[in-house]
Amino acid sequence: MNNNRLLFVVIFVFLGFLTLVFRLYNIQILHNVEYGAYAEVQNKTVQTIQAQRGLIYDANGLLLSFNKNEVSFFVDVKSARKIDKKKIAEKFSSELGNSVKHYLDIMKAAKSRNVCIAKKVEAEKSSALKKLKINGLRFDEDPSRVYQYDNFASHILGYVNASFSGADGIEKYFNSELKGVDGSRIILRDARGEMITVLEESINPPSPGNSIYLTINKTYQTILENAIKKAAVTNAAENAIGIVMDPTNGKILAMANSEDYNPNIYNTCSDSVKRNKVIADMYEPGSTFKAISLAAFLDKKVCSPDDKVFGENGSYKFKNVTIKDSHNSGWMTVKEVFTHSSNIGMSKLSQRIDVQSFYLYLRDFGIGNYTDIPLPGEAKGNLKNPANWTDYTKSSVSFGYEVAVTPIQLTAAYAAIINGGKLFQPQLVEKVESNDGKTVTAFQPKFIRQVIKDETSKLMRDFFIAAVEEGTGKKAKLTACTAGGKTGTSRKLVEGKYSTQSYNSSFIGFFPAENPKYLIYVLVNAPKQNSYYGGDVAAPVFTEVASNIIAMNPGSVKQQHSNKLDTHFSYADNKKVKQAELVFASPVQTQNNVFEIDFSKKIMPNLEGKSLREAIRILSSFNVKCEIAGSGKIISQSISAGTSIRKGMFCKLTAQNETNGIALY
Amino acid sequence: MQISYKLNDRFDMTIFLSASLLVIIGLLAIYSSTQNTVTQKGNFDKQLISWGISLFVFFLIYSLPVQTLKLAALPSYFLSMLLLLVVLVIGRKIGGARSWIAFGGFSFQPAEFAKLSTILFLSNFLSRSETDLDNLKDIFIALTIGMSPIVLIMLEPDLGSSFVFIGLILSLLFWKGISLFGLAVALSPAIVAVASLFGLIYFVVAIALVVVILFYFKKDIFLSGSILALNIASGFFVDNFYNILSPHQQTRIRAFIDPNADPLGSGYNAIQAKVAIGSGGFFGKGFLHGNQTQLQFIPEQWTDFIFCVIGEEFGFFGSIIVIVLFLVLFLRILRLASFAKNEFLSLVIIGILTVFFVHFLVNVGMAIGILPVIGIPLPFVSYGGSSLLINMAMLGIILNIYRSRKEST
Repeated sequence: MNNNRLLFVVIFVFLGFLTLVFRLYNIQILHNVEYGAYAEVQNKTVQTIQAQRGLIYDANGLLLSFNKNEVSFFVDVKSARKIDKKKIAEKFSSELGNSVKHYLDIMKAAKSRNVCIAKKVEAEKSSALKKLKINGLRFDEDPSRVYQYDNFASHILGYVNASFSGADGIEKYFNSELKGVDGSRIILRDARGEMITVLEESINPPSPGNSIYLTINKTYQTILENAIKKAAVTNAAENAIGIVMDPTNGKILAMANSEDYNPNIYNTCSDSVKRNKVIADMYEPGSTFKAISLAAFLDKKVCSPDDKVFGENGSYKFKNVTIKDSHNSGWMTVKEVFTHSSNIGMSKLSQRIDVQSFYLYLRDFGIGNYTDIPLPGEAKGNLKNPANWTDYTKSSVSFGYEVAVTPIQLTAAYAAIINGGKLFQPQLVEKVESNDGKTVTAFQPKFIRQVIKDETSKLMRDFFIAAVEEGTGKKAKLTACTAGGKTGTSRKLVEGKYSTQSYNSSFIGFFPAENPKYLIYVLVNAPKQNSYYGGDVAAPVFTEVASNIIAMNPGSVKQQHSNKLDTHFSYADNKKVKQAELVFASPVQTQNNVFEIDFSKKIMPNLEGKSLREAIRILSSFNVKCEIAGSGKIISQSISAGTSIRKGMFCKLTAQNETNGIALY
Repeated sequence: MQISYKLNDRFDMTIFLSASLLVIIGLLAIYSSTQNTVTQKGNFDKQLISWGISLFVFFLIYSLPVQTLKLAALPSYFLSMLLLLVVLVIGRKIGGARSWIAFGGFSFQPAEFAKLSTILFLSNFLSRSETDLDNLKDIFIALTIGMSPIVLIMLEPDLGSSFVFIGLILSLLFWKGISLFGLAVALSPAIVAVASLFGLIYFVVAIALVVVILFYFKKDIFLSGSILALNIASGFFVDNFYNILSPHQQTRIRAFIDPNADPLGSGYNAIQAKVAIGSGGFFGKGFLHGNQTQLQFIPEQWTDFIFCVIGEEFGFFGSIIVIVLFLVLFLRILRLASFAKNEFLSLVIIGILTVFFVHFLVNVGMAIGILPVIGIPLPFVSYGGSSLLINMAMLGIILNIYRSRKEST
């Protein structure tokens, strides 16, 4: 009996063993791959290693933007026990200075499982904290982009967003160069999901981003920013913008908006402040555009500098439209048309060129087209297709209306006018350099086309010099060398109407005049203080920027000086010259012609039947403030015609729509 | 040669060496599985100390007069029953069960001691000349001796140890020579009980099986009826018992029935254990290189799931070595049982063998997913002082019986 039972037991034991061995064979040998894969998946995670973002330097290798390797700490409030939390709070308190309670409160107030208890801790402070091994405590690399000069060149540099991707400016445009290639590594996580170790053999190192060297010169940029900001303040302007360009190759040496922001804290300011108005905003340039038109006329040889045109004594009726100059000229040479900024003269000269040629010149100067400056958000301006030009368009464009440009476009075109006729693409980046200092791309000035002949360019330079020496831009005179330039004062379109309150006051000038090395663009937007003439508001900014640049870099203006200008005109009334560029065309109204209004007598004219724009213009000439109801033609005025005008008068105008006259673009 | 022969005659090296190897493998696995855990870092040292103490106890028991076993049977049984009562009152609760008594810095599981004392006492009862297992009364007495500690252990509750006791009772009755009918009577309530856990259909099938057996043996209607009643009662008892189980044990049973139903919850251990062992492959990932082990995907891997550490780090090869060592140990113990000079000692050896075997089978079985996750340690290998001490003591008893086999009583 017992032997049978012994046998039974032995068989039972063997069966048990065989079952185990068979099962082990099954899972360890037959299904090894599946279980192995399962194990891999649950304990290995691929983690990206963020590449170091490239740096941004100025033209002289001065570091403008770099990265700070900061670390953010998180606590998993569920897996951290009470003593762990206390320990964490104490350690952080002693390292970072906040009270123990501060950290305990954060953990207590946690709304989700993971709570950030210290954000962006600097490297020096975080190194000790990173070594802590406490339940539930973990950290993430959380680098910051640092713009060490804060607001400096903010619109050029742009900023990076929370995910460290370029969101504006160079940071955005060159994001793919700057960001580098992220690496990866495989980390082992334990059952609680905590990182245990990094598998060394799995590390695929990131390649750091390339660095960008700008054409911007920190010194010039600072000079420009300061001057622009000062101009905005002293003129109580909405804003002011400026550009300094090397006209010989299109390199941008400085570019500034008076409304700037600190890219380190980019989210504290509005989008309108962040908008780079130098490239994103277009406007009707007014008189500064005359240089472009005149360059086209001269190059096309439809006129010569000594040709004379009749100034119509300040008012010229052309195709149903009256064009006015506020100083009444008789016969003027072409050069005088330019230096006095005569609308009538330009309008008359424009009749000598055919639409197609004129249009082609403008296109060749880059008007109505992107400059392709390497910045995001560029506007391309507006140049009507010749098919859409009305009878009046050619005349209107010739002195800067019915055409919209961006400051950068205008500056690039000016560079072509004065540098011998070569249009260059505005250049903002000198070179792209890899992390180990090798040049990846060296940008060369990009010559686009020869727009005008060299001799035309030379002629234009003389005209510019004359405009500063004798014309509207007298306040742009430099002591160290001769400067050339052109003023501009254009009415702003406010809600579709030309405003009498808001002007774009601009000046574009260059020096040294004979061999221009610096081209400076200044636009003061809606100055409210004192004058609004470009020659009064913007030209002094040019002078300030130019003389500061010369002071920093006296060698730049060595070859001197001045072939005396042959201007035998002297202008009795400087004010008239300035006014010349303000006065612009308006549709002719039946009998009530502007001629009839005598501004010297200070008697309220009859405004009925006039266009709203015209009425506002007249009232503002008398310094009468007004309030408008409706739009179109004036049907009533609160101060009746014939009343003598006193200071501080206020006139209410009622207007009614009428589909008559020419819409001014 | 002379000395060597004499040593072999008095001391079984095969048993001692295979057990020692198992302890050493266990120490390696304990080291590997706890080196990364802050709270369990001292386990290796503690186990080493426990081994030293256990060896001392082993040799002490080995050298005791063999008669001591019979004398100790009754007192030790009552002492362990007392301890099992005491632990219910003052026991320390670990992992949902109140199964530890602590005094000083030392803690101890009365259930471990109860296994040994129940073997001694039940063997003693069964080996009495007047005990007749054809007599239902004696079967019931034997069952009572065996079941009493189970009831107390179930109250802790400690499912794994109860399981061992059931195996123990059955194997001793079997070894004593219980008739097939008697075995069926003793076994059927357990089968019905387990079946009822799986659901009503299984319960009905099991009861039908009992009815068939009763028909087969053709006993009188009263006896058959009461046995059937007993079976049905045990089924209902288990159903109710399931409800008084602690939640973690209920979920373990549910997890066995369908481990994939809740892979991150109750089935987690079963799946992770299989993943660890399965990913080990043939030669394993190498000592200290098992990711599942080192990253603590398996809870309690130094005790109940120690086989996973071996399976993952030493692979199929290492697992088979462990299994073969156990096989050698068991077959040798079985061989010694036939050397025993009387029935009591033979029963004691079989009882001890059963304890080892059930522990082994259930522990490895749960690690590789053929048995439910029932928390019992792998003898000699798992971390745990009282477990190692009792196992070595039981080994001491076996070798004591071997040493004294030629002595006259």
